[in-house]
Amino acid sequence: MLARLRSRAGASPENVAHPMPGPLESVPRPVSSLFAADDLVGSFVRNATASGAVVNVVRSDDLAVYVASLVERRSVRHAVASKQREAWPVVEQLGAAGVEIGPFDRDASSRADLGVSVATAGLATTGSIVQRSDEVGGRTVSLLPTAHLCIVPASRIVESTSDVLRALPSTGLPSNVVFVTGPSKSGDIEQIIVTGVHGPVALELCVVLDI
Amino acid sequence: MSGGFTLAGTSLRSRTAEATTDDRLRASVAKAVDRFAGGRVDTLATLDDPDALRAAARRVRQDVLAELPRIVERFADNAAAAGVIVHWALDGQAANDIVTEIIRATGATSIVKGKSMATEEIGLNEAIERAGARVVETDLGEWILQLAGQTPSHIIAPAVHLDRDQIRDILQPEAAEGEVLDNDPERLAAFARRTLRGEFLAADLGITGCNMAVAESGSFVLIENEGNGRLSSTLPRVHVAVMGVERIVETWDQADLILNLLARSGTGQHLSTYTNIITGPRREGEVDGPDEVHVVILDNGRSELLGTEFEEALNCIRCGACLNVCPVYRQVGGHAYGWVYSGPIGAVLTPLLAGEHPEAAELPVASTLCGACMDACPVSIPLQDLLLSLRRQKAMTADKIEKGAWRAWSHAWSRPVTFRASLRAAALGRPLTRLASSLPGLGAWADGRGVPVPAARTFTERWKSGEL
Repeated sequence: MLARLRSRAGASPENVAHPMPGPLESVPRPVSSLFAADDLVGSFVRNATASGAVVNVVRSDDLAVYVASLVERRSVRHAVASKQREAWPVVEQLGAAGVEIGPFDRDASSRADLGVSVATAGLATTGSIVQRSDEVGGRTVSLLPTAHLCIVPASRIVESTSDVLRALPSTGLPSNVVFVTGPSKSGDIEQIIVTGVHGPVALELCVVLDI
Repeated sequence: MSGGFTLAGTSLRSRTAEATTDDRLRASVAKAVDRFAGGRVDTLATLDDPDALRAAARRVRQDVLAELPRIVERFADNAAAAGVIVHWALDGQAANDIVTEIIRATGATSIVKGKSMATEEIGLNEAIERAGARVVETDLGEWILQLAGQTPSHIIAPAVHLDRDQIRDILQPEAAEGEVLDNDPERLAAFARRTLRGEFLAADLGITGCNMAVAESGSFVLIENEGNGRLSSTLPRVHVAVMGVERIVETWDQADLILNLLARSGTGQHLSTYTNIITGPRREGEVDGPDEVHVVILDNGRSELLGTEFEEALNCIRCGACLNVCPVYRQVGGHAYGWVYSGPIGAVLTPLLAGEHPEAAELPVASTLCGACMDACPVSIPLQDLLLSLRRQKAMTADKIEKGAWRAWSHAWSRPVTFRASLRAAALGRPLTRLASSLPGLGAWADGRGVPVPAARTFTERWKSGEL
């Protein structure tokens, strides 16, 4: 098949009506007015909220209060969590609030009301979180539970997809990197947006200012 | 059926006639395209100089196609190094054989599928069922269509032609005995979540498409909103992705630009809910993910377009923006185009990829050549030029009567004497006008159009008599 591609590839005839733009020196980086350079965290919060996520901004000291209110608001009884350090205080508080919590795997995740993960990065322009699969983080923890809580260290918020994608190494990528923007949704019935079609019904983001 | 292609087997005329009298369909389609098109305008407007980005994206796609063999080989090598099993399929039949062989070799009996146009193109579901396995579509729209035995009518919103009552009726037989579904979209979606979750957890093989491969790291990107692609590529032990050979870029810089245009142009989102970047199977020490990842690289007529005037059709990133702005698509919806790809890009791709079917050649007339499609296209494909070229090709093979008629008209209207004579003849022939629709050859042309009635006296005659 490569031989066939090679035999075919070559200059195509010029389109006189709509000529091809000239060669690029570099690929332009998209810049959005939804990003305010002087307000990284504020941009993230605004745009994540617009995407349908529920966003709270806290300091480490406030986590106990935040977790208690989340447990009540979402009636959390069973939770799973990934193993990153940044998740430990939340796991502890969930336990203190009476939630049955353990490490995630596929089966535990599919029974949980809440899955707790930690963002590798936050994208301010789109309000997205970035997650990677590795020994401490995985896929099902943020995919199978009814709700997904992602801890977003404020220090990891960057401007946009460009900061993450353009910095990806060409070898040794994790098996899975996912940008998550809002809760699972579908508009397949009359373009009415409904949430939680296959992935989490709700995406809770907890931006922690001092980590 | 040949090479995996199934076309509607009916004429464009009969399909459009059917669609234009279906008020329910037209209302559903108009509502959807207006929403998508509005979202596209709003989200692109937040970017600095979106037209410059579109022009750059056109150039990026062109640069990739110019070196497609090298870039595809680089992707295949890097994906293999990351543990992906790479397969090559010259046509749809070959791709279907590869996938059914993977199913046989892995002993998979329960298969889930994320939304994919490439697999629709090659009729993969039918091939899997012929091979004796069961496959469940899991994108909400695709699942509805699978249950209804229908095909997608929009590149990104497959069930756009159905309203909630029709969808309720299609889903009802799937409900447990005694459970009665209502037409509330939220409750219908919750029913789908419940029913399909069981399928995901039980599946031993997942099939998806591929929005874009990235050669430099051997990765591929899956973009979606529901989570069906994420689940199909995470839960089953084996993941198979079917990728059109042109769905590729070389670098992450290029991927970044395309991704920033794709969701904004398609659904009118800044970014889709899930942008999955997959690089090989689950690694040592990872808790979840598939043990085996296959990529099937599909040609199916695409390489025939390289180096031709139609090459830019391969630049398409399948966002659906051209459908949403097309005055023809708006009136007739996707099924009228007769194949999986509809709208302006469908009218171009179908004759190019399924050209052995005579009815495919009709499609380029399903356009007003207004150019709204090129203006909306995130990679600025000059669709109207491609449609015009396809029409030209078709005209070269037009029948003798039609060619003769056009030649006579061209001859007559190029000379003042014969031009005026023809107008006088038309004026004298006025009483015959109402018979036009019954004349052989003209009947089809006049059907659906008002036949113009020539004036009793020509403009020249009135001008000369001082009447004007």
